[in-house]
Amino acid sequence: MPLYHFVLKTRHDRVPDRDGSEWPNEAAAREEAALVAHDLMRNQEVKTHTWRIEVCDEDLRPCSELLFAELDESVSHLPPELREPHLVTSRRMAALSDAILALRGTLAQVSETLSHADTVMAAISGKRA
Amino acid sequence: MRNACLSALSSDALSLLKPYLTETALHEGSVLWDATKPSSEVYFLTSGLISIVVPVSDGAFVEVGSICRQAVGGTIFAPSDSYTQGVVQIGGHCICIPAQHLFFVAKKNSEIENLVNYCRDWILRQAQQMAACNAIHTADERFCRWLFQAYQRLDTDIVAVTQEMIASLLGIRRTTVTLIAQKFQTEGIIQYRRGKIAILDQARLRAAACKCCNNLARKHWPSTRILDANAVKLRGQS
Repeated sequence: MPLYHFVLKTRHDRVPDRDGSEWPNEAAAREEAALVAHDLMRNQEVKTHTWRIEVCDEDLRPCSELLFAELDESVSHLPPELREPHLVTSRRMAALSDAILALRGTLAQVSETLSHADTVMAAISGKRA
Repeated sequence: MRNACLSALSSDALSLLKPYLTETALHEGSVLWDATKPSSEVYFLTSGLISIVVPVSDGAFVEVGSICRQAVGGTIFAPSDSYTQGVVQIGGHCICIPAQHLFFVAKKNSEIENLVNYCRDWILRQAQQMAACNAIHTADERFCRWLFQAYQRLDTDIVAVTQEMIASLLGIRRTTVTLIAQKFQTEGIIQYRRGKIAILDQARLRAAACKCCNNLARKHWPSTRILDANAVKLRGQS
C-alpha cells in the first residue's frame, strides 16, 4: 500500500507526521485526515478553524489539504450566507499564517547568513591585521 | 518495588492479609477481567499499569481509569458484575489475594476496611473525572494528562507505551497521537522512540495537561489516604 504523510498546519507551527502510514489510496488517506481533524478540533472548534491537515505522498509532495472550518459540523447548520463568509475568512487567515511562517523562515535564513558573514568578515579582518 | 497500599498498612493489618497473598507476573496485553471472565482476585500491583477500559464498538475501548502500585485492581467491588475490562498496558508484577478473603478480613479490621473503601473511591473518582475530561478537554490536553499521570504513578521518566496504545485508551486516531507527540517533541517536552516516551520536561508537560491532574493528584491516591489515616490515628493515641 502507498505511504502517506500528514502535516498539521496550525497558526504557529507545521507539524509533520515523520514516519507516515500506509493507506490504500489518496481517498482513504483523506478520510483519515478528516478523522484526525475531528479529533484535534473537538472542544476547541472555533480556535482551530484556520488549522489544516495536508495529505502528502511518500515523497512529501502535497496531494490535498483539509481546512478544519470546512469539516466542523457545529457550523454546518448555518445558512450559506453566513457559513460561506466564515469559510472564506478562515481560508484567508490560513493563507496569512502561511505567509507569516514563510516570512519568519526567510528572516531566520537572513539572520543566519548575516551571522555567517560576520564570522567571515572577522576572519578576513584578522588576517589583514 | 512494593505495592504502596500494602506498604502503608500497619504490621498488624498486613499480617492478617499475608497468609492469602501470592505473587504473579502481569503480561502486557493480557486481560485480567471482563464481562465474560469476571475476576475473583484483587491485584496489588508492585510494578506495571492496568487500564480499566469500557469496550465501545468494533473491538475499540476507552479508558475510564488506571491502576498502578498506589492502588488495587480486580474485584474490589462485590459482587462482581463488571462490564469493564482490566487490561495490562505495561507489564510488571502484582500480589494477588482472593477477593472473598480480602472482604472477610476487611470486616474484622478497620484499616483493611479503609483500604478497600479508598480503592473503591479511587476507581469511582477516576471514572467521574474521565467522563468530565472526555467531554470538555482537547486531545492535546488529554494526551499530556495521560502521560503525566503515568509518569507520576510509575515514578519513571521513561514510559513504555506505544502511540497505538495511547490512541486506543483516549479514543482517538493513532495519527492524531503521532502529530501531538511530534509537536511536544519539537517543543522539547518529550522524546518518542520505539515504543517509549521519555519525559524531558515534566513541569511543561503538567502545564500542557488538563486540570484533571489536580483532581487525581497524589493526595487522592489510596496509598496516601491510608498513610494519612494511620497518621491521624497515631496522633489520637499519643
